[in-house]
Amino acid sequence: MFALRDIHQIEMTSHCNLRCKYCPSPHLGREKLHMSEATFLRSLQWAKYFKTRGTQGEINLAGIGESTMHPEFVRFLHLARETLGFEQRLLFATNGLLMDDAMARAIAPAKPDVWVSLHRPERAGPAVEALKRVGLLVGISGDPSLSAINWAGQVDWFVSSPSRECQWVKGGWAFVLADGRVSRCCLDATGEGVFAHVNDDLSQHETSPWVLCHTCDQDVGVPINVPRKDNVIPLKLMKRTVAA
Amino acid sequence: MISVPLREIHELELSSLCNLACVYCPHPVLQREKGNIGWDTFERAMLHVEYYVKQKTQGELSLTGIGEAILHPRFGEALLRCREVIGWDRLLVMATNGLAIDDDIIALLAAAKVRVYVSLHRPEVATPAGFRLTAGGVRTLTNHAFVDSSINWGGQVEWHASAPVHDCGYLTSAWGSIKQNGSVDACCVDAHDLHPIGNVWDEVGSLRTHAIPLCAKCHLLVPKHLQQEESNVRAA
Repeated sequence: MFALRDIHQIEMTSHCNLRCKYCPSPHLGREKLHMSEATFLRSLQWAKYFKTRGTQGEINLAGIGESTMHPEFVRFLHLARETLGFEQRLLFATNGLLMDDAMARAIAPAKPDVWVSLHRPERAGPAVEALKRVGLLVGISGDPSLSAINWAGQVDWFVSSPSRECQWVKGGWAFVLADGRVSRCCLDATGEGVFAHVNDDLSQHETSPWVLCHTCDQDVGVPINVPRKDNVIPLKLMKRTVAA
Repeated sequence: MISVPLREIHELELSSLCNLACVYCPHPVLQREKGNIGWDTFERAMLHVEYYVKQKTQGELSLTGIGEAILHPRFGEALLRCREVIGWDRLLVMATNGLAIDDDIIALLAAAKVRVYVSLHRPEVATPAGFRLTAGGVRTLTNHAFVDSSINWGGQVEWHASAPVHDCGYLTSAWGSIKQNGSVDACCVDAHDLHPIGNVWDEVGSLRTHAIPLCAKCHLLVPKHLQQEESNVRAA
């Protein structure tokens, strides 16, 4: 068990405006919703707590969803900056569909680092340029093609990402889902990795390997003391099974 | 007009047909008839390539253009013929969006030792194609320059130009681009074949290249030795 020490990812929304076949979003095994302001603020407070303790690293303001779809996306971004200060690295990735010059200019004062994913190049291209114009673009991601994962077996896709030591468990990182539950891992498309809620006292919580660590391409770096499932059922098939 | 003898057929467009209609590509609004290169035209193009091979000025041959080369019904035959003409020491390259890649095509590309660039216009299709090509023994690379090192085709499409600015490779190296209709163009950017410098039916060895009006709107620079004194072309 590893003490929680870092709010690594905050899922502003679990909605997405694309349905990529290499992503769990189209068949997400949990409710799709926008994060409430109370949950977002609570998440930031925990990040601030860990920052004060010197254990908070960068914060990714996206999860399995497109953060720019959140109706309060711009305001939330500024809230994060106000709460955590400019020395805190804030970042997120976007598919670029909603990232126009107006949105880029609106978020620019909050100085997030932004990645654009190349799911739809004809939409990503203008977003890249809009973000460049305000100095927010840090990179372009072609990961589903160039450094692919199958989400620990949850989607039917390739794995070409180099195997690295996963920092989620050993680093005590937390992923706050859109509904406020706290999970062990950024790959948690079902909520099965949840071990707490942002309204809990996270200073008393610990994280540990979970079932998807068995089928993940990354090296968790510690013994996985949870039973292995015979097969991870791809989310798409899981939905069909439930429906049947 | 300052012109220099052509030294290489750098690009040969086997087909101007495409199975995508990308907004950043001139293909959807191509101002010339779309189709596959006729075999007579292809063989005539090969004579020009052969000439530059004999001159020892021919480098790689790229089977690209404003279309998807593998849509040509005699694609495999064309590959082997190109290899026959340029030999095995020169690069034979092409780009594909991956949509029409199948096992037969992969076997042909492997046999002809073609270096393939898979363009990520549709990542969900291009990625599996890339993995299959690699597994089939084809040297495969990926391309997303149309987003992060992009061009607007000399102002011919409404898109951003973020590619680095430097002297035009076509003009600097005296390369030519043969279109599916047999036209020889000064560069790959002349998608609509508005400013041909010749035709494959011209005498082999007679082709010369020079700056064209499109150069004035291109993000690349006309090399000094081809700049006109009173030219509207963009100068280095």
